Amino acid sequence: MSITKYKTLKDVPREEFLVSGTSLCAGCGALLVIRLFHKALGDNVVWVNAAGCVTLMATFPYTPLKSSWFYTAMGSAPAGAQGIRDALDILIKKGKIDPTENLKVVVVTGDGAASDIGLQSTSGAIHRNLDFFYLCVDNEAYGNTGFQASSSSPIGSGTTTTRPTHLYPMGNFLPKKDLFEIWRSHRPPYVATISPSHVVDMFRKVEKSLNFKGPKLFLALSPCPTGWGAEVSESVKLARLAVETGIWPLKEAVYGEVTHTYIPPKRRPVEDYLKVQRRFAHLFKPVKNEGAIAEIQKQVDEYWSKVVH
Amino acid sequence: MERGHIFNPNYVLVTSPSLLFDPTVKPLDGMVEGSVLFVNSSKDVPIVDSKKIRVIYRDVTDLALKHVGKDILSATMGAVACKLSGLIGLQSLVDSVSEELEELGLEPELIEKNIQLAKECYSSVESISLCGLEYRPLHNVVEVRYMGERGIPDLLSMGNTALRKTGSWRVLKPLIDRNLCTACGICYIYCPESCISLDEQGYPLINYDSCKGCLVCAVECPMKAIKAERESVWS
Amino acid sequence: MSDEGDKSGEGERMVLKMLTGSQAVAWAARLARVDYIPAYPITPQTEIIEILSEWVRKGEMDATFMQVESEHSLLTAAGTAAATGARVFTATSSQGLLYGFEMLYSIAGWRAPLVLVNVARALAAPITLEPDHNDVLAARDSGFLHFYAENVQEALDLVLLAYRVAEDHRVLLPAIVNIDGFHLSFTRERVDLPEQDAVDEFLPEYKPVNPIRASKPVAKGIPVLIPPLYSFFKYQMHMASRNALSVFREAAKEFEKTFSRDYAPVEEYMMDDADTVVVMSNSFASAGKYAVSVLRGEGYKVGLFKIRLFRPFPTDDVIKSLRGKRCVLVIDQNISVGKGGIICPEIAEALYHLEDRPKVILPVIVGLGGKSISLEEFRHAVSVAERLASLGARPDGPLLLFREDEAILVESLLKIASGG
Ligand SMILES: Cc1ncc(C[n+]2csc(CCOP(=O)(O)OP(=O)(O)O)c2C)c(N)n1
Ligand code: SF4
Ligand code: SF4
Ligand code: SF4
Ligand SMILES: [Mg+2]
Repeated sequence: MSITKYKTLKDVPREEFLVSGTSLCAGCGALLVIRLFHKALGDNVVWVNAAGCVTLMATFPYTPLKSSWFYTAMGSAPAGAQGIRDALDILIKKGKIDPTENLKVVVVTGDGAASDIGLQSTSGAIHRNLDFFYLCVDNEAYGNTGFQASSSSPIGSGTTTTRPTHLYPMGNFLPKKDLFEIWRSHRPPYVATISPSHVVDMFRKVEKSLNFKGPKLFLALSPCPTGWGAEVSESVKLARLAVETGIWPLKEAVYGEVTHTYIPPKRRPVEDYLKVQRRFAHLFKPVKNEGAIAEIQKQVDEYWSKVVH
Repeated sequence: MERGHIFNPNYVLVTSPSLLFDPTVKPLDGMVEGSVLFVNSSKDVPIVDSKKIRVIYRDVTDLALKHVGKDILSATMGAVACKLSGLIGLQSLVDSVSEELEELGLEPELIEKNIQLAKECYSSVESISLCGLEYRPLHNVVEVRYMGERGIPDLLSMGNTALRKTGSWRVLKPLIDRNLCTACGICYIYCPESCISLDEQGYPLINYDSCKGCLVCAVECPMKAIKAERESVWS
Repeated sequence: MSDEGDKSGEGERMVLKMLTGSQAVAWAARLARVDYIPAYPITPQTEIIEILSEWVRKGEMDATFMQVESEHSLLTAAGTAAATGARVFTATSSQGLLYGFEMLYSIAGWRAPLVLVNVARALAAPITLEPDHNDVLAARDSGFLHFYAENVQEALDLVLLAYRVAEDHRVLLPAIVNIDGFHLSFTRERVDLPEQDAVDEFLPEYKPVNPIRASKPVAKGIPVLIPPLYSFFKYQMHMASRNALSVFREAAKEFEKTFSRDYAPVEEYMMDDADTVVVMSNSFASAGKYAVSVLRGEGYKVGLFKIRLFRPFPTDDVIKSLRGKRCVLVIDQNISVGKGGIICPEIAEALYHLEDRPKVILPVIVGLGGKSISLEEFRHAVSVAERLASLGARPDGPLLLFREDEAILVESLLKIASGG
């Protein structure tokens, strides 16, 4: 990576843009991601939001943010960003507002909005080369509505619409949609995956992306203790496990060119990650589903076998 | 019979004493002489008892921790309400709890623990039958005026959620041992709630008004310098 | 298109031109100096966005034209841009309006003023291209102001008036200007095209409220989960919309001064001594006026009442014009399936409490999917209303007008379809 301000955690700026007191669950990974991401972005930001858990950060008359926020609709936050970006550009160009009034336009949505109902809107915005950031906080299901399956739910996970039963022992039997690749296929200037456990990696990526004009998209693993059935205190630990098992690769793509920014020296078995979450409990109890676990392990191994070290 | 918003409650159950004084909740509104207030608290909390309401204190969080190991309060408060009102019997309560939890996909052992919890909560209070309480009309009906630009749902006071004091959510309280702490700042980085700050020497300070007690900080601390302690009375 | 044209007779401040309805509303957007035009094509709206994109590309208009990927995105971008402080123009029609429907309520709730031209087209299924008003009336309760144009001149003028009313700080609500597909959008008529400086005088610069700026952060569109607070904001929208009645009158007075054309929320045609009044809106009102003038010659004491401003609903005007009349026929070019027309109950409600309310208020449905309305159908409907009045009887459901030639045509087409 090129020259960076961020060498260690000590370099993380102290300024907070998000104050405490939101109604999000204790230990919410998405909240931590947004807090850290905002520090990396700096000030002068307007967030454009689609319906999801993080929508409840700001409910009248309260907002935790010191920056602007615009809740639009579930399916069209990127189009909302388009309107704001275009309006600011026009008003500055026509001299109706001062250039110092300019803002970074940042879409923040869940995985359901990003991978399902809002995918068309995202594709349009990337195609038009909209100058914006997109932060997807991926908790791998429709969290806000009670953790139903989204197309981002991993295979083998139980959700409230993919309950494991004797007819469906895997729970969710569909694969997780590869949003990174979908985004990358548009060849935007910058796409990256991030994890709240790997903070320096996250900061360097945001730092790098700030050099590009056009779409800059971030897919953030966002542990959800409530939906995943995990210890609230272990959100960061789980995110780290996802990286160390190789389930959540940390990578970036600059104009489509992929680089892995962290390669786990010795990948831990996926079982370590699966067994501590209730959404995967059916793979272990009442009898261990060795086949399903081996299949998940195989998919991870196959992924990494194609990664050039 | 009232449905939805209860204007004149006979029984009010409050899960946390902090809610007693929350201006957006106002749980005591509409209570009249003789009605019953149940507060989940180990200690008595002073209440301006102008209406001579009957107040009962029990720490059902403690019971929840004992049986389930977590501060799950739905089964507990439901059980207390069943018993206090005397309207719902123990068997109906047990059936409902197991049905609800089965729908959530909980394992049988965990459901059983919740049932034990509900049972103990049920027996922790006595029924108080109430009838013929006198109600006073509480509210005037007014006309809404046009308020111009103030009638637009824009929010201009930024970063004001701190007013909400989510510290009341906390069951376990993180305590930093300054002797073990090396001021590495890791807890500060990982607190999802922005409620750890660092002093000039880099030592962490926790804002207990807001800390939800998730203990991410405790798990992440490399020195194991953050201990969890059961929250007593939050005020 | 060239800017040449005849100087109009009366005023100095306009030019005579032959324009289609699409061209006229495009001109209105240009003269309003709109900043932003998000677009997505749908017949019969396409000519509007084609013209505007060309003007922008030639540098004749200092605006950004942004073709997006759907009407849902179109309306989202339009709303957030207006909330950020840009003057926004857009246009859609039928399926497009419904595809973006969710956002109509959102834009109105954001209190973001903009102008949306709806080129009326009946809704699928069955799919068609011809007009009726089920599309625009689906947006009736959204909080948008509704302006309905009868002719090409009105289409242009109402867009200018709509900006002035929508952006007024006593109102701050978005507006729909409806023009009927084909009947207005592709019909060329003589139009007085206002001159730029006159429009500049009439239409002050848009001053957004709480726009998104670096120096003054704001949270917009956020959930209101406290029930009385939600009610409060909805009541405020309603009162703001009601304010638009007097703001419209004020603006119309200014407009008349500048452009010598007078617009009220409603229009009366041959109503002075009328016993029977036909209520209509939009372009088919011209056919209604023609029918009224012919029926007058036949001895019917009939007039026509046209609704130009439908939201806010001009209750006082309705009362003033229709009280004391013997019969009122409301011609709804739409259908609420299982009930009847959408506008008729609104007229009836406005008149209900009057001692001198009409003896008969007859709901009439006609013109769905662009079906024409003939003189015979007008005559039939008027005579049904008058017969009911003289019998003291009440209408038996809405009158569903249809002609014999149409019935024969339908029969022959059904035969082809069934192979029989
Ligand atoms: C058009 C529309 N459909 C459905 C919903 C209901 N809805 C609100 S939030 C939500 C879940 C969002 O899931 P995701 O995007 O993954 O975010 P999360 O809540 O998991 O953070 C859904 C389905 C909606 N608000 N709008
Ligand atoms: S449900 Fe999950 S994602 Fe949603 S607020 Fe709770 S922890 Fe966060
Ligand atoms: S993580 Fe532990 S050692 Fe580091 S600053 Fe926090 S309490 Fe001290
Ligand atoms: S317990 Fe959770 S909320 Fe409280 S200080 Fe630690 S990390 Fe922050
Ligand atoms: Mg999600």
